[in-house]
Amino acid sequence: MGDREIDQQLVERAQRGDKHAFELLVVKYQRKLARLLSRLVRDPAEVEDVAQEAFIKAYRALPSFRGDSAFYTWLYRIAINTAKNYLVAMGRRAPTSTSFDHEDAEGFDDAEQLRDSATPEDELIGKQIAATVNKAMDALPEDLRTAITLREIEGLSYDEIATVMNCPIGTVRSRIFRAREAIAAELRPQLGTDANRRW
Amino acid sequence: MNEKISHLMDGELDAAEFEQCCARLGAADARATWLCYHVIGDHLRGTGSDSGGGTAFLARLHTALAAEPTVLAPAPQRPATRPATFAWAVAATLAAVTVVGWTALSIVDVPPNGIAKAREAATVRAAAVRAPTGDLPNEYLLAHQEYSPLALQSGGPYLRSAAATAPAPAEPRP
Repeated sequence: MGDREIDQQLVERAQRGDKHAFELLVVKYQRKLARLLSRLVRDPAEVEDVAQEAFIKAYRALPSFRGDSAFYTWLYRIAINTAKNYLVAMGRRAPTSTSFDHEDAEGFDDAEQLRDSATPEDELIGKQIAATVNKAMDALPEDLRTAITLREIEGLSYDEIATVMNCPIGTVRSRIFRAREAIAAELRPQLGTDANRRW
Repeated sequence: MNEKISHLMDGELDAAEFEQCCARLGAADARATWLCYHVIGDHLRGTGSDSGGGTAFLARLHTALAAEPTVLAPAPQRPATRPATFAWAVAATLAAVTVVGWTALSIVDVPPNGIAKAREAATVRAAAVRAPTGDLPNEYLLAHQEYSPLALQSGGPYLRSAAATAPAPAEPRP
């Protein structure tokens, strides 16, 4: 099952009335969408407002989502239109449609521009998280680091990783999970995701 | 549970496990793990936001979503049903063509070898019927001729045989 199929199944659950399933999609794409919106709306607080409005619009429009395109592509279009409407409403010039065509949706990556739009506090938090992830990665045993790199950065499936690493698929599953858990153990305090909080 | 979440993210759960895992992702600790794993992935790929995990944003959005009426959309029709429908249509067409063709052939056309076989069979049957008659005495046949099939079909029972005797030659007169 690929990324698109996972999203589709979560969408179908949300379409059957499971709001938690939609929130899982929000968690998955919130950071990516915020990066995208930062290109149009410079103020970080406004980015969050527009992102929230886009997610709510997407939730309301879920009955019309038929899975003809990937969920993120669909969400991307909603977010771009929301941002344009927001800029027009604020009396600012919206970007031309060619600046943000849908081909950008899957491969969007423009970190330099985003650093200008984040507040110093946000930037500090972001740098701390990146440092924690990098440090935890360096501390991983070689086989765990290779497994999670092949999965998260190279995007290989478990089958492909098993072939590359010449080990059973069960070992791949275990290595990727152990790598994530080792990094997460360092990261959880920074994210503020205690069990007694909402997130 | 965290291991299942890891496999869910990578699309390595079957349908039943997926449903179970999604149901359990309603719990706060499971959602926190889902968030944490995604933040790790985003940072490794360099696609994470500079504002960290965005937990404050998620909490606000959670509140806003809770105020929204629950979406209930009809299940979309899957394209997988189309081949089955097509197969039924093809099967029905073939069945109809077969019935019509069979009926037409049985009425209109009998192949020549079929005719030959039918003639042969008729000859054999006739011979089989005729054969015993050769052994019957002529007196018997004459006595029962009015019951023969031919006689029955042509009104034999209503006919009577009459014997015609030639008049005796006149004696010369003295």
